[in-house]
Amino acid sequence: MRKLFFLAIVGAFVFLSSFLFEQTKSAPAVLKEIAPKVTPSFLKQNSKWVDSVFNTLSEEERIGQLFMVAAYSNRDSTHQREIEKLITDQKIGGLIFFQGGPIRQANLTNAYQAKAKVPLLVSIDAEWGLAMRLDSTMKFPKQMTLGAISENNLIYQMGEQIAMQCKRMGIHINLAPVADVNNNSENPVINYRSFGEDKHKVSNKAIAYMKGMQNKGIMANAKHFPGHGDTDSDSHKTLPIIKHNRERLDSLELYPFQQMIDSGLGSMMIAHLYIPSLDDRPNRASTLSENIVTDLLQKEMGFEGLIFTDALNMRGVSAFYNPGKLDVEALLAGNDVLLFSEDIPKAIEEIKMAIDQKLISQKEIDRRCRKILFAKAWCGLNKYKPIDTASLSEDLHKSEAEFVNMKLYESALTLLKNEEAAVPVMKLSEKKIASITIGAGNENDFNTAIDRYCEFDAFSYSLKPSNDEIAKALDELKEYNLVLITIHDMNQRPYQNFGITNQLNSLIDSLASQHNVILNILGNPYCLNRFEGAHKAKAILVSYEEEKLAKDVSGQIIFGGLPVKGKLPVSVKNYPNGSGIIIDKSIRINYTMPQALNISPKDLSGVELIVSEALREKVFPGCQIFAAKDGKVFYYKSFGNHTYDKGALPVKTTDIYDLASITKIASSTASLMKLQSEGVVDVDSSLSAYLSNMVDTSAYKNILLKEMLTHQAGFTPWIPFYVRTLHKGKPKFELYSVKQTDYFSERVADNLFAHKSLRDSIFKKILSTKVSAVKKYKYSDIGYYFINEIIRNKTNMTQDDYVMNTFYKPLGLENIGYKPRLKWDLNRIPPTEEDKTFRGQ
Amino acid sequence: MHDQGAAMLGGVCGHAGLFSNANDLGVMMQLFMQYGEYGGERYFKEEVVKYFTSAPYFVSNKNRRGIGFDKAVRAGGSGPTCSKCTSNESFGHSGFTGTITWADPKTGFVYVFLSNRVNPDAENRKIISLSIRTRIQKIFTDAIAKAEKAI
Repeated sequence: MRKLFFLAIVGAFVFLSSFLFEQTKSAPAVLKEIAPKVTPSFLKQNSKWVDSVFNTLSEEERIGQLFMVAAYSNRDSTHQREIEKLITDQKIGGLIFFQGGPIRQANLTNAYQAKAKVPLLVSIDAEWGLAMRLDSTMKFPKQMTLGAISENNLIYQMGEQIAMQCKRMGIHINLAPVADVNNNSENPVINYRSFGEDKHKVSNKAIAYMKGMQNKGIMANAKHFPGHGDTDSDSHKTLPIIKHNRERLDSLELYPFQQMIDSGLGSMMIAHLYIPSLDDRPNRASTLSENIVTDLLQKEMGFEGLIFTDALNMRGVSAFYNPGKLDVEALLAGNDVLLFSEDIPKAIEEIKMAIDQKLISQKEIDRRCRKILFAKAWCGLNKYKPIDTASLSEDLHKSEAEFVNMKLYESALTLLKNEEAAVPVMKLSEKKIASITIGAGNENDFNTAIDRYCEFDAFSYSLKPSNDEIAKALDELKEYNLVLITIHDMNQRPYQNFGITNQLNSLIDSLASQHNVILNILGNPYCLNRFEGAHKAKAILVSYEEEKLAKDVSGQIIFGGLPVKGKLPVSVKNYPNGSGIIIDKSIRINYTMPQALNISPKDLSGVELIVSEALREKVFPGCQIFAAKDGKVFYYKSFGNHTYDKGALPVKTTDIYDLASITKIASSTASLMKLQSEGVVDVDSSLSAYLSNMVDTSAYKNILLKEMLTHQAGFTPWIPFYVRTLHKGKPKFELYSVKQTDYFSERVADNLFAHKSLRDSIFKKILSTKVSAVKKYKYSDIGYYFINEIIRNKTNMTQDDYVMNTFYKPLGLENIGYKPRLKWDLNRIPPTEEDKTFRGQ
Repeated sequence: MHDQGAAMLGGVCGHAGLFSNANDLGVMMQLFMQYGEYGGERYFKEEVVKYFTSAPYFVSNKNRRGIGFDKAVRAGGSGPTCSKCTSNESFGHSGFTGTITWADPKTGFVYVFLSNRVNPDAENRKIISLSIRTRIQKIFTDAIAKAEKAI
């Protein structure tokens, strides 16, 4: 006996304790395979409010409570008046919101609730978050993407976040998750909306999503009972047939639904499917079948929660029954909530007639009405409050939610193939990299992501490249030895082969035959069933969706900023369900959020306060701030402008600053550490060991490199060499030229080149400057002039070439280096001092 | 570039002349903090980085400096970093133009702050008087310490 109070208490305790356990670090216990059977918690409440409301309703009004009507926030006032009329005249029980925007929907919800005698139950299809229906809201991964995630705890957290957003929007039921097992790659309507083809994965993930939501007070809805996964037709358009026998349905399709029921599922949606093994009356959709809705679902499977029809305007049912009649059939089958009814006044009339004809009793109507009222009480409508629209937008984009979303994508992306360990890309100095974008322009989030890791050239081609375009591509990519291909603008559905054209297949085939290709699929992995060219790539990364996060994460995975964890949730050609190469280590820095390090963003808010103060006080015109811990960059922002001038450029994180003395470590010290590691230089030796011709006759002869580098060689801090190269404040013509020539080779400023001999003059001046005998710590630049010479002598390269070839290039760093004006657009370089005496700029 | 001496050598010099964005300098610091290994490749011997980032004359000469690297002030006095917020293993350097970078192998923290405080005038020393770079560093080190404690 499931309804035993005692069991309910035990159930609630297990539920609660496992929820608490979830809060600790290693606790997936809330997602048990087999949970104790539980009556949905909404039916276990005190009935006081339900009784008080129920007693005020007329018999007709109780019928009205069974209807949930489609509402839109992107339609005109006529639509609003129609809904309001249904609320005031028919006393409908609830609304299902479709397309629109969050503020508009919130305002409409408040307006509708104000007119309702009994507060309305509000639902929405938010399978991947509110963004499934509403603009300007957060999109979480689609369920196929979630199917690739091993840690179901993350899906639980997603459920919580989506629930909090629903709650904030005055929504009470999220018509999610899809609990269909998708084992048909040609399924036009479920497919990517399913957690995949493995019933256990589907169950566990659906339960995680459900519990996350229900623990935050939002009712989940499992759909589409008894299982819409194995069909190649769409019930919006026709009545799909499921030909499996009862045994097979029991073992597969029904499994996730049973598991969810046993874990406390609040509501279920019945699909419009023709399943002869359960009800063989011609054209009898499951929605309208007593065998299915009452006998199978309620009696056999023990479901006590709210039962929703799928939308009654869908062709799977509306093609065979007239409005009104259809509603009666749905009620007779055993449904509680009639969704998207096409003609409610007519339906109410027909239902009243059915009661008169004793097809159904008023008592039964009352029982279902009370069930709905219990759901309303559980969702908080017994203490109805209008939605506060102040800061609504911010509340729908909390960083906690964004962090969960990021973790979901990080855990989902799936590496199917990785020949010659192509991922992560190593040995950057040997690579000439092309990043090819298919179906979008070169300015995209994937290229932005990889720009932080490597130097590359960007190309883009269409999804349907012509023969000429293919020939051009092959020609222009000849010199590249690593080609990254990212496919955008695909189709999530089987329609048009998931977006893969024959022409694209030829292009990828040719490229992958000639190059090392890493293929990044921002779409449905089922595309690999008919995408021969893709299988020739060295590596195949499935990123599932064309989302900013998927692009960012895929870029980081390819360059080793993130590990790879995903497992394919469906079977595709060459790769069965569960395929996925795991790489558990990252080799380069990862760009993430403070939460990834357990740092609260609130604890960093002071940074921006200090920067604001600095900008206000004119400490500097702008700045860049970067912070990383354990190789995870958790803060990287830029502030202010390049100069104080009106209309000055704002600083970007890609802008290039004059590092000044940081040069000493990021160039000179790095070089010496390399030469010391190779045994070429020893900082415990004297200058004489490396520059004997230059120093042996001077006081500098026995100075140790180490003494110079620690600033205790006794050197003078600074010599203003340039002063002696000026005459009456202007550069001397014999030392400087406005044109670059063999003699005047060293660029000093935009149009000013110094004579080669200046170098000799500088050293002459240094060597004639006294060295103090007292080895006291005193900061001096002078030692680094010698270091520069040693690096030149030992490497036969100028220091800029040496650091470029030895460090910056192999590290993939193209935003560091000497001679900025030769490397970068001047618009990327915030200027330093206005030098009026020397260089006049 | 700001430094005139470096400019006279065509901008390629040991003590100044390098330009970067914060990210790329951050990667260099990460390489140092990982004692020479990054991106699956080894650039320096571990013991060499440890030697250079030590303070070889601290005991004999009260000199806090590393070999090339600046180091945190150990007892009292003002230094390049926020006070008592970085370990003795930490290292980095500041720059005249209004820059600093610091890495602490003990906490795994890399900090990069870049500005052009010398624009339009190098006499503007408010970055020091208002301790902008060190106050920001302190916020990060405090937040990290708090997060570590919570774990």
